Amino acid sequence: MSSLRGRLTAGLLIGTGVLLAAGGWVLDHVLSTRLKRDYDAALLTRAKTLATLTEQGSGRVWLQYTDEVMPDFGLRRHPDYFELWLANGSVVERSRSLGQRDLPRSGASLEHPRLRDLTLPDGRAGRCAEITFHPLSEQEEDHLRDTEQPSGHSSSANQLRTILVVAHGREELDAFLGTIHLTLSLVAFGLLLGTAALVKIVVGAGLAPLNDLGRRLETMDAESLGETLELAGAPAELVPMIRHLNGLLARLQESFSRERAFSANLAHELRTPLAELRAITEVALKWPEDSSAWQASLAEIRTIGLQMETLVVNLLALARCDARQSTVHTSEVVLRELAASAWSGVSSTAREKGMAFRLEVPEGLLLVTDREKLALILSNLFANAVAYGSPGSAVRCLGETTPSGFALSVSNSTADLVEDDLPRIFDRFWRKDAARSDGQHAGLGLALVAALCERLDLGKAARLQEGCFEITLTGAATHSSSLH
Amino acid sequence: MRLLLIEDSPRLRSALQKGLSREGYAVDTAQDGREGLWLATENEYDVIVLDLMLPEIDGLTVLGKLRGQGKDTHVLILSARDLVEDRVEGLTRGADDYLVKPFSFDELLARLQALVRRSYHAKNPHLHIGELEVHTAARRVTYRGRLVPLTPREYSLLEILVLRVGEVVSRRDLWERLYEFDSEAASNVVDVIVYSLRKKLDPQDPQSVVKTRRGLGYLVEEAAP
Repeated sequence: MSSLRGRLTAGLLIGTGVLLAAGGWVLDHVLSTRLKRDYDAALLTRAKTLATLTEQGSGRVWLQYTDEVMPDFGLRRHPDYFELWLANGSVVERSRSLGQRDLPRSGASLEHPRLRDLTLPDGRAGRCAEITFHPLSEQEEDHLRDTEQPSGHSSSANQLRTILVVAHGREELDAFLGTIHLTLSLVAFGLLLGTAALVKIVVGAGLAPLNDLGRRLETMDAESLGETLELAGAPAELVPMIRHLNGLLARLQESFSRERAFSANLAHELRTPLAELRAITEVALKWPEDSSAWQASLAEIRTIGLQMETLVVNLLALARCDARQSTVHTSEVVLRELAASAWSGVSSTAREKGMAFRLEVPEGLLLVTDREKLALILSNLFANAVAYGSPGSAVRCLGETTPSGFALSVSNSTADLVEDDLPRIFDRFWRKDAARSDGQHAGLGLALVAALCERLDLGKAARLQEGCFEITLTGAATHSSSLH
Repeated sequence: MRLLLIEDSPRLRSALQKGLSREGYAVDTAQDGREGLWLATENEYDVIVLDLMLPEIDGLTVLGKLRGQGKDTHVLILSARDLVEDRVEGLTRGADDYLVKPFSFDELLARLQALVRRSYHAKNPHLHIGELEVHTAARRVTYRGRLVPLTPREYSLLEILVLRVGEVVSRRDLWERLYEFDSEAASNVVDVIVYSLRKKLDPQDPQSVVKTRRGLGYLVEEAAP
């Protein structure tokens, strides 16, 4: 598995290696060129020195040379070499080191001396300078010595042309260049090793916050979702990531909490009636002789059965909405009639609580929607309003057209709800009473309303204002719940 | 034996009260945590049956407050919460037992009997005192090898005296263990039950098992070695 540390280390090392190699090559090239140029310049100077010692006169050429002046040409070991020719190829002079052998010539011109590598007569690698020149006559030399100016009346036509080759072993130069190569290679290798160590430290330190974050996330589980990742001191690059992760963790924690609450509530809603059923039946069976108790027990069992049936029906309706299994059958619906019909289901309960119904829906308000599902929505909204509305108050149902479609709201007065309850009002099994003591309600009515609204593409909103709780449904005319 | 049942479900509360009363327990009931806490603080119970999700004050808070007041009455939690964490939390907060809803009525009875025995440091459900044998699990009494048919109240009274063998138990104490908080039973009802019990145990020698300590109460003496 590739790691950021590995990638950064490899990338930096390869990059550094390439830079060091290129830098070393350039440095080596510059030094070698400079050294060879100096070497050649020294060789050429030597050749010119010999040239100045060459004179001509009376149709012949001679060299004013002795081994004492330039002892390098007479050494037994690693000597230098020179050879002087006339243009016709006859040898004028050779260094003593050359004996009877010749140095190779390559035909340098008067203006351009030639420098090249060669193998010396003793087998060593060497380098030679070849120049072509006209030796000075004795008169010209005297004039030059007196005036330090060349005489203006010499005629090259009358002068003899000579060729001089001076050769010198290049073992010192090669050894020095070799030392430079080795030094540069060692320095480059050392720098690469140093860089590797530095990269390891720097990359390690640079990636430490990322490693810390990884370790922190590794240790997190469902129990620690409430904790947040530390933002203080985090590198700027990680701040957006940490912020995003903290946001996700908060949402995950909320989901987990809701899931736990859902499980606990579902357990309560199912286990409590089951416990009631079991206790009632077992007690009744334990004393079968008490017939009046049997009658009462059977009546209670029936009531519990009906409540459980309602719970199961609601749960199934929710499950079908979730799975989008229920088909939407659209037809024209007169909203006022449908609302009045839905109210009749709860009107007796409302009367018992002294609650009135105010239906404020225009006669001509027609919707194209699923009649059955909208009726179920209204029934649940009215049942909720009657169950939790203050006794003696009124339930108001208001329908109206809006620029984008229609709005339908059901409101009732309440003394129990607070603003913080609103975000959870459509949650499944949510009840204001955490003890869930009231066996009549399971907290599924508004959850079913929410699911059905989603199925019918209706918007929903709950608000609380001055002790009045209101749920508003909105629909667009262009959708399935369209307005006529 | 006197129990306090704190349960918000009216149907479950009613069924359990009915069943437990028929088993001879004196059962006081409370429908929310506040009332339950008040009853538990004001009275002495052998066992408190406590629901967790209660209106007003939740069950764990009730339990915490009772333990905070130094009340060491045995508490059996009866809850729909079945997670291990819930049970662990209930037991670590001071409960003595935990039963998940739905439950068997017989299992509840057995656990209550076990807690009652623990209240009197009696581990064996078969209590032997001389020729008297009390099977607390089956709620059956034999005397001199003969099965004695007792009413639930008679059995409960005998069980109290046997569990507190050698100790004089006052009429007031017996009344409180046999009757509910709001019972209108007359104060001499204990004497009536003792009379009936003695007749059933040994009509020839009524005081052979349950002795009277005039002005103090009743006792069952320890058997001679």
